[in-house]
Amino acid sequence: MFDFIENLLYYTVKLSTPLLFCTIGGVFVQRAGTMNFALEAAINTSCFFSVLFTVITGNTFWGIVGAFLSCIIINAIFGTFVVRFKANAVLIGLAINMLMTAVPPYLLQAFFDSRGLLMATDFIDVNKAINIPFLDKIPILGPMLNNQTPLTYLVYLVIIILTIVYYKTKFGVYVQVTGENQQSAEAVGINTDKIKWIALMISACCCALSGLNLTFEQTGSYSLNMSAARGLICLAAINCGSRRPVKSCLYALIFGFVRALQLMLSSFVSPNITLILEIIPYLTIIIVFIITETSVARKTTMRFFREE
Amino acid sequence: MLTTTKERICNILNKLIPLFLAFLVGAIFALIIGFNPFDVYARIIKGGFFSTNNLMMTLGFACPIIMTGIATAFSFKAGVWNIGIEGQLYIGAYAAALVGGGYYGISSLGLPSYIHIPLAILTGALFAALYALIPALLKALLNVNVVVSTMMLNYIATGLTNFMCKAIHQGDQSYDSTYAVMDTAILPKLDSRFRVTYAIFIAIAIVVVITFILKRTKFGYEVNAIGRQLEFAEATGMRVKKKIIILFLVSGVIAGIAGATEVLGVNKNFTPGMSGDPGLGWEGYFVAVLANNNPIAVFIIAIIFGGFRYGSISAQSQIGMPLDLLNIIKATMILFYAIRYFKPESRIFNIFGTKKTAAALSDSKEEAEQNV
Amino acid sequence: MSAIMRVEKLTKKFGDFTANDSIDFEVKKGEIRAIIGENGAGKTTLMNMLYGLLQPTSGQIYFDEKPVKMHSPADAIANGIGMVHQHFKLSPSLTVYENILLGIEIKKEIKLGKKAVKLPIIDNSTERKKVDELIKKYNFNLDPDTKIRDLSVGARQRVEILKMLYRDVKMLILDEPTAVLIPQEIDELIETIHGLKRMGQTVIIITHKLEEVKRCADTISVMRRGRMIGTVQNDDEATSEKLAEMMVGRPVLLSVIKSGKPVNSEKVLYEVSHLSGKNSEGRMVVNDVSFKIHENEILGVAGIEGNGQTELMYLLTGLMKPAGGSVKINGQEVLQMYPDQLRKNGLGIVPEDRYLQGLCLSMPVSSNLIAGYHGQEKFCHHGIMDKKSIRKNMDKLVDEYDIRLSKDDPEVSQLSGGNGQKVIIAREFSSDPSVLLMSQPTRGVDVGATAFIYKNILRMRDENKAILLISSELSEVKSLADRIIVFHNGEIVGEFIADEVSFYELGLYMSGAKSMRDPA
Repeated sequence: MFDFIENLLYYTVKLSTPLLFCTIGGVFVQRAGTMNFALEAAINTSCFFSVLFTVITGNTFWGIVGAFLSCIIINAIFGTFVVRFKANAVLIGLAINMLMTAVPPYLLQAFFDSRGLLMATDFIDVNKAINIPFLDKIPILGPMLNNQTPLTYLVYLVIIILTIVYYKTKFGVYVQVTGENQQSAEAVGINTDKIKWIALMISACCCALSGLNLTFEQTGSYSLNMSAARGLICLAAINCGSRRPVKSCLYALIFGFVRALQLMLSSFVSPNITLILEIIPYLTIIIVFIITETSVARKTTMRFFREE
Repeated sequence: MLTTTKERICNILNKLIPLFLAFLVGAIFALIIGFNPFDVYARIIKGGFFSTNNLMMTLGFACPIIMTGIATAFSFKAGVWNIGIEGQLYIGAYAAALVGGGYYGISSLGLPSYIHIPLAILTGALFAALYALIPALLKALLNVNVVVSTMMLNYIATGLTNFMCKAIHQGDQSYDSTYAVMDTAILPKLDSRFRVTYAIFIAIAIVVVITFILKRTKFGYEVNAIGRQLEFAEATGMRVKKKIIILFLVSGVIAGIAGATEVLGVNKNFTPGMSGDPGLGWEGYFVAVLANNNPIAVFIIAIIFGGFRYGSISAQSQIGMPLDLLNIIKATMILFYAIRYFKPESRIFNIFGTKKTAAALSDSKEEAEQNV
Repeated sequence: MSAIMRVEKLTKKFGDFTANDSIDFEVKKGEIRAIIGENGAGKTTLMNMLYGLLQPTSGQIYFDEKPVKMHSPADAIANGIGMVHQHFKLSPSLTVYENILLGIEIKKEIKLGKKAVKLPIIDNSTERKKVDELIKKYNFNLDPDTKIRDLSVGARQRVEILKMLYRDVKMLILDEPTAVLIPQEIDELIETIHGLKRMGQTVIIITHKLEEVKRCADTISVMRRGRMIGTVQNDDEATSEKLAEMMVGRPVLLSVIKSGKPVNSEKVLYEVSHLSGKNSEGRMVVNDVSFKIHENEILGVAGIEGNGQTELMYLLTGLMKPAGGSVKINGQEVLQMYPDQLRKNGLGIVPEDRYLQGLCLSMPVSSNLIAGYHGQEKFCHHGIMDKKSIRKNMDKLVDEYDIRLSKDDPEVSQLSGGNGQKVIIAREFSSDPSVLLMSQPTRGVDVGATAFIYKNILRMRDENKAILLISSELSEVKSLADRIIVFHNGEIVGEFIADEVSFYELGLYMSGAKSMRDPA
C-alpha cells in the first residue's frame, strides 16, 4: 500500500510535467483575452517534429530545434488569424487542431510507410532520470521528487519565473490589463496586439517543452494524436484556475494526479478493463467543472448569461 | 432585406477565396510528397462526381454528413458551440446496433422490418439525445463552456463504446464489434450496388423540416435571436436556458439518426472506428461552418464533401495518395474561411487595410450611424 | 495669447459619409474651450482625430505652431495632448497609482558597484510616492492605493485626469465629463478645471449640456452635422436658447409641457414592497425597496449610476432572481416571473442598455418590432410566424412613431440612436401595457427624438398608465416625473414631489449626504 502511494505520487509529478508546461504558458494567452484551443495542436506538433527531426538528422539537438520552431509556427498561424485578422478564436483553434491531426499521418505515410507511429528510440535515450542521493533520505517527498527527468525539474523553475513575470513585470501587468480592459491599455499607448503576440510566443515555447517531455523523456517515439487531449485539459485547468498562474498549475497537478491514478490502477486490472479507465481523465474534467461552476452558479443571481 | 451588388460580390469572393487558398495549400502538401496536385485533384473530382455510379456512391457518403452538418448548424445557429455531434453519433450508433443486432432478447421477438428498423433508429436517436442532454444541462444550469464539455464527452463516448466493443462484445464476432445487424433491421439500399440507403430520404426530410423551423416558426425566430444576441433574447422573454436544452436535444436526435442509419444501412455492425477519419461528426462541423449554418447550403456542401470523401478513396487506390491530404485541405479551408477578405464598406482588401484600434472604429462607426 | 492648437480644413469620411467636414478652429493657450453639439454632430470624431485614434481624411493639425501627425494616443500624449474619455479607460482590479503609471512603469534599480542596473521588475514604492506627490500638487482628493473598482465615478474621473497630468500634457480634452456626475460632483469638477487653468493648462470640454458650459467655459464652439458652425465668447449674449438654436439649426423648446391631468391616487397600478436583490458577489444591491405607482403617474428614480438602479430594473423585468419582497401589477403578484410572462401581464419594458437588451442589432426592424410579443396570437399561429401581420405591424409603427428608415426593413444596426430607441418605444407603447418601466429612455438620442419620446411618455401617462422612469439625467427626471425617489447604495433615501424639490437638494440625497433613513 505504501509502495502504491509512493508510486502514485511519483507518477503524479512525472505525468504532470507536460500539463504544467502547457498550462503556465497558456495562462498568458488566456489572460490576455484569447481563447486558445490550439494548445492541443501545439503539443502534438512539438511531439511530432521533435521525433521527425531527430530521425531525419540523427541528432536530438535538431529534434529540440524542430519542436520549438514548429510550435512557434503553429502559434504564429493562430496569432495571424486571431490577433491580426480578428477571426473567431474558437474556430481557428479547432481548425489548427484538425490540421495538426492530419499533417503528421500524411507525412508519415508518405515517407515512412506507417501512418501512426515513428520510432526514434535509436537516437533518443528516454532514461534521463536524475538521481539526487540526499533526497532519498526524506520519506515520501524523497521518492516522489527523486529520479525525475530534467524537464520535470525545469518546469517548476519555469513556473516560478513566469509567475514573477506575471505579477511583477510590466509585461505581466500589461497582459492582465489587456484581458481585463483592452481599451484602457490602448488608451495609454500599449500595443495590445504585441502583448498578445508575446504571450503566444511564451505559450509556444512552453508547449514545445511539453511535447519534448513526452517524446524525449517518456516515449522516445511519436504515435498518432499522442497529445491525447492534454491541450484541452490544460485549457480546463486554466479556466478552473481563473487564469491565475499558481492556481491553474494546481489544477494541472490535479489532472496529472488523475492520470497517474489511471496508470496505477491499470496495473491491477485486466487489459480490457483498462480501456474503461481511459475515460477517467475526461470524466474528471467534467466533474471538476461541475464542482467549480456550481459554486459560481449558486451565487449568480442573473437569469441570463453574459458573454465574456 | 436588400443587399447591394457590392455586398453580394464581397460575399461570394469571401467564400471563394478560402476554397482557392485551401486547395493551394493542399497542392503544396501534394508536391512535398511528390504528387502532381492537378492529377490528384482531377482524380478526386472525377472519382466523386463524374458518373452516375460515382454520384450514387457519393450520396451514400454524403448522407450521414448531411445529418451531422444539420445537427451542428442547428446548434451553431443559436451560438451554442456544440461540437459534441461526434460523441452523440457514437452513442446513437451503438444503441441502434444493439437493437438492430438483436441484443437483450430482441432477436427472439421476431420483429418485422417495419417495426425493427424504426425501433432501432429511434433508440439510437433517443440515446444520442440523452447523451446530448449532459452538455445541455451543464450549460443551462452551470454555464460550463460548451466546447470543452462536448469535446470531453466526445472522448468519453468513443472511449466507452471502444470499451464495450473490446471488453463486452469481444467474443461476439471475429473482431471487436457488435453482432451483425439482423436482416429485419437492415436499412435497405436504393440500389444494392451503391452505398446510398433510404436514409437519404430521412436526411432530406431533416433538411426540409429544419429549414422550415428556422425560417417560419416562433422557435426559429427565437433561435435566431439567441444566436445573434443572448441578452436581447433573454430580455425579450425567450427563456434562453430552456431553448438551449431543446436545441441540444434536437441536435442529439439528428446525430443519433445519422449514427443509427449508418450502422443499420452501411456498416451492418458497430465498430469503434465506424465514424472514419475525421469522424462524421467532424465532417458535419466542417460543413456547418462553411455553410454558415444555412441548412440548404449544408445539404449542398455535404454532398460535395461526400464526393471528396469517395473521390479521395479512388485517388488513394489509383495512385496511393494518402487520405489525410483531404483532411489537411478541409482544416485549411476552415482556417481561411474565418477571415472576411473583402468588406463591402471599405473597398480595400482587408489584409492590406490600415490598422485601427477597435475602440476607435466602434466609436466612430457609432457616431457615423447616428448621423444617418 | 498665442494659439496652442490650430486645425485647418480637417475632414473625416467613413465611406460615403462625411463625419467632419472641413473643420477650422483654434484654441488659445490657457483657455477653457467648450465644444458643443448634438449627439452625432461629429464632436467625438473630431476629438478622436486630435487624440490620434482616427486619422483625418484630409486637413492638418498644428500644435504649438508645428504641424503634427498622430497615429495613436501615444503620439498625441507625446505631443502634449491628453484626453479623458466619457467611458473611463481604467483597469478596475488595479490600484490608482498602477493605473496612472500604466504604460510608463518605473523599474526597480539596484546598485552594482558604481553602476545602477535596472531590473525588469516594477518598483511599486517609487511609483506610489510619485503619484502621491502629484495628488498633493493638484490637491486632488484621492488615495493612491485604492483599487479603481472601489472608487466613485467622480474619483475615477480624477484618476483619468491625473493620468494625463502625469504625462505632462499641455492640453486636456474632456469628453462629456459631466454625463455621469451628480450636481455636487459637477461643482467639484468645474473647480478642478479652473484650478488646472490657473496652473496654465488648456482644457477642451466636449459636451451637449449647455448649463455647465455656461458655468465654466471661456469660449464656446458649436458643431452641427459635421461642420463647425461658429465660436462665441461665453458672455451674457450667449444665452442657452441661442446656443441651442445654433446646435440644432432651428429654435428649440427646452421645456416640457405637461397636460396637468391629475394623478389618480385612488388606483395603485404598480406596487413594489420590500424588494431586495443580491448581486453575484453576494452584495445587497437593492435593499428593501418599496414604492407605489398610481394611475396617471410618472415615478422618477434619481441616483448616481451604479447605485442599484440597473439591478432594480433587472429585478423588475425578471432578469434577476430576487432575494425577497413582492411586486404587484394591478394587485397580481408577478415577482418571480420571466420577461415573457411579465409582458403578458401588462408590463412594457424599455431597458437601460438599448443595444444589448432592447434591440437585436443584426435583425431587421420588423423582427425587432415584435420581439417580446412574438408569441402573441397577432403574430404567431400555432408556433408559425405570420409574416404578413409582422410586416403590417412594422408599416403601422414606423408611420405612427416616425421611425426613419434608410431602406426597406433594414437591420437595426443601420439606424441612428434616436431611431433605434423609437423602435423600442414603438414596440413597448403599442402593446398597450398598464405599467411601463423605462430606464435611460433618451440616452444617446438627439434633441428631436428626445422631444418626441418625452411627448409620448407624457401621452402614455395621460392614457391611464403607471410609469417608472429611471434616468441619470436629473433634469429629465425632474421635468417629466410627478414624484421622485432617490436611490443611494441600493436603498431609497428620499422621496419628493417633483415640483417641490431643487436640484441641489436632490444632489445631497444622491450623494448620500442626506437620507430619510437617517434618524433625524
